[in-house]
Amino acid sequence: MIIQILSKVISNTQIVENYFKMCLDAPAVAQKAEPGQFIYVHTSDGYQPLLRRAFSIHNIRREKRENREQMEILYKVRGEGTRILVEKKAGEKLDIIGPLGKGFTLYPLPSTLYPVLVGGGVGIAPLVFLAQNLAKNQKPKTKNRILVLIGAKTKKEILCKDEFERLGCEVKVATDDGSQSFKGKVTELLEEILAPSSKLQAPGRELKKPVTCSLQPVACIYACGPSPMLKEIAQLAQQYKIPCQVSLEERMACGVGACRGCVLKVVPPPPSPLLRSPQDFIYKRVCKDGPVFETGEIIWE
Amino acid sequence: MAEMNPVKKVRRDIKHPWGKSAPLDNEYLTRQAECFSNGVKISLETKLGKIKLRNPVMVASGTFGYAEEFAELVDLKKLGAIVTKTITLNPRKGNLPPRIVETPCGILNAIGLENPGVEDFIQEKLLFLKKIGVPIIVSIGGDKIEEFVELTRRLSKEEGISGLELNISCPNVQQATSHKPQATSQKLIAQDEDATYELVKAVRENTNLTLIAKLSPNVTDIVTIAKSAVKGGSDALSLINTFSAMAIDIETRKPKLGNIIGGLSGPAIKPLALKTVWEVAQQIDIPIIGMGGRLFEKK
Ligand SMILES: Cc1cc2nc3c(=O)[nH]c(=O)nc-3n(C[C@H](O)[C@H](O)[C@H](O)COP(=O)(O)OP(=O)(O)OC[C@H]3O[C@@H](n4cnc5c(N)ncnc54)[C@H](O)[C@@H]3O)c2cc1C
Ligand SMILES: Cc1cc2nc3c(=O)[nH]c(=O)nc-3n(C[C@H](O)[C@H](O)[C@H](O)COP(=O)(O)O)c2cc1C
Ligand code: FES
Repeated sequence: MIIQILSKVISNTQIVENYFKMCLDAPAVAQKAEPGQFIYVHTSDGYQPLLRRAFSIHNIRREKRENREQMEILYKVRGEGTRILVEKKAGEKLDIIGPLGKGFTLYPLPSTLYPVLVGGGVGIAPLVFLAQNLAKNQKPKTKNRILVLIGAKTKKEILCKDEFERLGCEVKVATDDGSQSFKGKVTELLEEILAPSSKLQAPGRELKKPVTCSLQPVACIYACGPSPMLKEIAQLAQQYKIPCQVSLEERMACGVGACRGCVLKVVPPPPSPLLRSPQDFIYKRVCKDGPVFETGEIIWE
Repeated sequence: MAEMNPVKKVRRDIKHPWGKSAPLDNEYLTRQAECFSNGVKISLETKLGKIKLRNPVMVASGTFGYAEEFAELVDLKKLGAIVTKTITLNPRKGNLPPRIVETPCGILNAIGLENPGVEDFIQEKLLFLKKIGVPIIVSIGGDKIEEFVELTRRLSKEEGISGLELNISCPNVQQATSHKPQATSQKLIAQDEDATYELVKAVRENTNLTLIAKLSPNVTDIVTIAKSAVKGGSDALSLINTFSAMAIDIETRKPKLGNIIGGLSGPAIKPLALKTVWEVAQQIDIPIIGMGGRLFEKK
């Protein structure tokens, strides 16, 4: 059930420069939300900006005193809409619609195999909520069975490491400038982890340095971040034959699947995959059929 | 709602609920009506051709899909009528993304009439629409008069449809058959008074359904076109479709829309739309459904 409400801002705090966490009192939305789904926020009180802004549901927590479910978003200040959000104070009201879209579908995994969550930049946002759910579904004995790879530009921009550790995840970090841990892109880090436990490593591809990781082999990937990163992850998933889901962004208008403004090219579904010409495609809506897609169906531009 | 009746006979609709909170409710309208009538209750019932509406609030084609998408968010029964996304004879894939760009107080869109085609519409979408209990107006589009006629014949056989809106004014399907980003200046039917007359007349001869021609503001003199539509047998007019427009990314120096050009809507066009409605309303006698920058606001 999708609802539109005026939700109260409980807090709105900067976590590192340019990144904010906003906590909203919206129990009706929070209770229904699934990892990967988003809320659609009207940032201004007027016509500018006109369209709502999409934010992944980052965290659901139960407020003990009032016993109400609260919902957090994690956002990066990018333009007009997010700059208005920064100014929102506790107690103010925010017009939101949610939960929207189709989130992550959890792959059933035997206890000897592990999922890996890969987040780049603010793309880490939906993965905290996902890790919460994955952790909840795992039996207590098999704790610490989720691997999380965080990609950040610099040490300062590493997001949510503590949250994941608190959930019992094994966390690895890649920074572009090498200011902490692995130097390089988070996709390179992912390959370092996938390659040793697989015979499918690309020939001639030299790995930088072995990354020690107790959680191998990895059985599936869930990722969110900038689209070039997701495209590379999709290629790795294909190469190593690992199922993979990614959360995508596209410019939206209605947010509920009505206007067909947010479409993505995907491979048409069976029954006739053999008759299909390579150019054949259909459009799916990021807001309604996504934002999470299986990488196998995406036709990358 | 002060501008609800800028001139006599003009009906304004209130449509897409994307921006502001959009309760779209009858009670609010009734309350407003009461304010203007010093407490005397007035009826909001209105007529479009043969269609009786409980109130004059409608949705604009293309902004509301096939209503099912908004079913959880809006009480559909409170609408005066529902206008569907434009349907064509055959399925259409639509334009290359990006299809939506935000501009100051407005949106540019170039969806390119993506729709499942008339047969799938009847099989899949109409079933839901029929059950809502408000008049359903199906928007139809095409490249040629024959397509409109065939669509009209097909849809007139179905139950549960009250009227047809003739989308002869979509700026985003120029060259839509080839799935390529292309901005051509091919003429729209609604940019030619003779073509408008011929088309409306041909459709009129094939149906008893209420007909609403939807006109384009991208013309020198909209009144002439409006008169052609009336002469052809249109029962009402929808004014207006979007303004042909474009946006450029100053960093990449490239057009922001996949289709290069698109149609501008939203509060940015409201004064332009209002003037068009006013101009036409002075010259013709059939009802006008006003749209362009109408967002519903509850203060
Ligand atoms: C499903 C979904 C979930 C999202 N979740 C989050 C989240 O959890 N946290 C977060 O910080 N952001 C998230 N985003 C992105 C967020 O919606 C945009 O950052 C926000 O709309 C920017 O608004 P603005 O008004 O501040 O910037 P604008 O002024 O609109 O734009 C600033 C810059 O960002 C670009 N941009 C804006 N919107 C998008 C978009 N949708 N896709 C690609 N580029 C865009 C613009 O082209 C421009 O260059 C999500 C987007 C989607 C579609
Ligand atoms: C995303 C989008 C899709 C649209 N699709 C259609 C369409 O399929 N058929 C049509 O006649 N008009 C279409 N329109 C135009 C609207 O029906 C309306 O005429 C226009 O948006 C101006 O009104 P507004 O500013 O109040 O939105 C579309 C508009 C938008 C924004
Ligand atoms: S934004 Fe309208 S269909 Fe996705």
